[in-house]
Amino acid sequence: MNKGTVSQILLITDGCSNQGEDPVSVSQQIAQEGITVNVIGVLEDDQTEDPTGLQEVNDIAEAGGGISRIVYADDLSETVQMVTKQAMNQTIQGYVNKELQQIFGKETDEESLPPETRGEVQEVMEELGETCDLKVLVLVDTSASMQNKMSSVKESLDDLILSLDARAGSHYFSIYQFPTRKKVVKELLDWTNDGDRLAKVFPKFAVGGITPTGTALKEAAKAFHISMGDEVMRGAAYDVVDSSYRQSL
Amino acid sequence: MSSIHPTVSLYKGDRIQGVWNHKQYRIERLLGEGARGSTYLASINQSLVALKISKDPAVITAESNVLRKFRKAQGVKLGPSLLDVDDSYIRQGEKYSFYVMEYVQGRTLSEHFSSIGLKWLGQITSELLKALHQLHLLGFVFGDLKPDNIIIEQQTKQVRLVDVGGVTQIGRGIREYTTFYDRGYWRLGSRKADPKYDLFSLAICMIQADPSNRLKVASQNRDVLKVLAASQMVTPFQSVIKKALLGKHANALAMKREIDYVTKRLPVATQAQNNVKTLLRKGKGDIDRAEVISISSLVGIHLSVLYLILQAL
Repeated sequence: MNKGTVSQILLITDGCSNQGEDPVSVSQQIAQEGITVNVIGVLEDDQTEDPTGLQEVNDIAEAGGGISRIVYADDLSETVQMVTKQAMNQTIQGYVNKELQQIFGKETDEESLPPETRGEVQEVMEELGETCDLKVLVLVDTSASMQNKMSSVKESLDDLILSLDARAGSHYFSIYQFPTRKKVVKELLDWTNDGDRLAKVFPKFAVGGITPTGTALKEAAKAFHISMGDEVMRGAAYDVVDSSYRQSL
Repeated sequence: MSSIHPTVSLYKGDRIQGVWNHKQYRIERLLGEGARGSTYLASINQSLVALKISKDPAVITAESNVLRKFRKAQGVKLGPSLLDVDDSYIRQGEKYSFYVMEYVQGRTLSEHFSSIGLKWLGQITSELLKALHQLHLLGFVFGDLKPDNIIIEQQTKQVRLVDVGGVTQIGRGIREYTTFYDRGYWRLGSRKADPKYDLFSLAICMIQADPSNRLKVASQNRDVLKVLAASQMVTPFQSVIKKALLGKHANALAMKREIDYVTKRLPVATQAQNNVKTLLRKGKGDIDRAEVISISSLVGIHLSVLYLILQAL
């Protein structure tokens, strides 16, 4: 079985963008390139769980084919690893369904198969989820209001790496911050799978004022083009579904 | 696609009719719900069953897959039979997947904590280790082992494991875990599924039986060994628990032997003293219990501890 790469951007922010490009349409463009955009909105302790200002969080993720969650800083660890995993499974699911349609016809997706066959497809998806390569670019909003949440952000990324390390497939992550004094977005850590490097990155976070989310997303997404080959998991070039599934129907 | 709230609300008297296998179930009441779906008590032909339904079909497929694998265990019954897997239209045409399993009645280990004695704790742990060992031999770990997922059956007093959401093939990343029971969280190992992962979680369960219940406080500096030292009730088991936390048992059977050794040598007096202590702490214990009950995501599938021969297979 060929292995593809699942590519994700994880945006961690606490508020609305207020400058630069429209993050929702940027997110949509990024998704078209085969990169999923997930967004986690971080709440202030005294904020209610459904603040109107964070609606953008959901919109960006939806446009980017990803998952969004709005949580308090304390819940970041659980959320970051879960969002990453769920979005990865979602990518694989969409991709396997595409394969199924090629084999069985337009209307077929996993749910239109009988439960027994579905079980076999599920195993293929789990296998893929475990073995595919995963690239996660973490884009951290470091505008002033995020300052007191940085230790939670670091902890959640440590936890994410723990979960990624447990997979059989390889993974790479990189870390970008926005904004900085001179640039909209800045690379803090280039693609790596070495979790220890995280600790050295975090003191470098300088905190700025404006929130140019859309422009930052656009710039950060370029990191995938530079270092990535052509094996983005979205096309139909993979031999995902075993031919024996045909027989079991 | 994954959904934020995969739970499905059904009411007493609702009928669930399978699209593929055409069986019809009548909903009796909610047994539990969680991040992966809802479980209902249901009836079919005058017998009671547990029915798990979720808006996320992958949950149903994955869990029923695990149950099917348990069914293939040779000569050993790991859990009740998986009775049915199907889809059903609910009300205005929404279609959800569900699976049906044997209904096991009882209370969770967390509900028993306020009355648990040392000797009983030893016996329960020993039975669990026996079951876990079977699971490990099949090539799986349980993953999400915690007092809420351990049920003491009402009639037989057997210990059973419920909720297979965390069951993971050895060598893969643990599928589902709960923070305090997760080895990775305490920085004492990876999140990769190996038998010792379960032994770690079981050790935390034992610490949780202690009424002092300090895990939440300890999460600040992530030092679980300090909590262990402060948990006086489980003092006789302290060295076994410590070994399990540090991953020093070769396998579940090795830990079981040590637990049995300690349990056998517990003086009867210790147990009586413990009961008295427990009584004295009762007021406090009740509060803890209420807190634990509220986190219930109870019935998934039940892993029988008794080794019944599966002749049907």
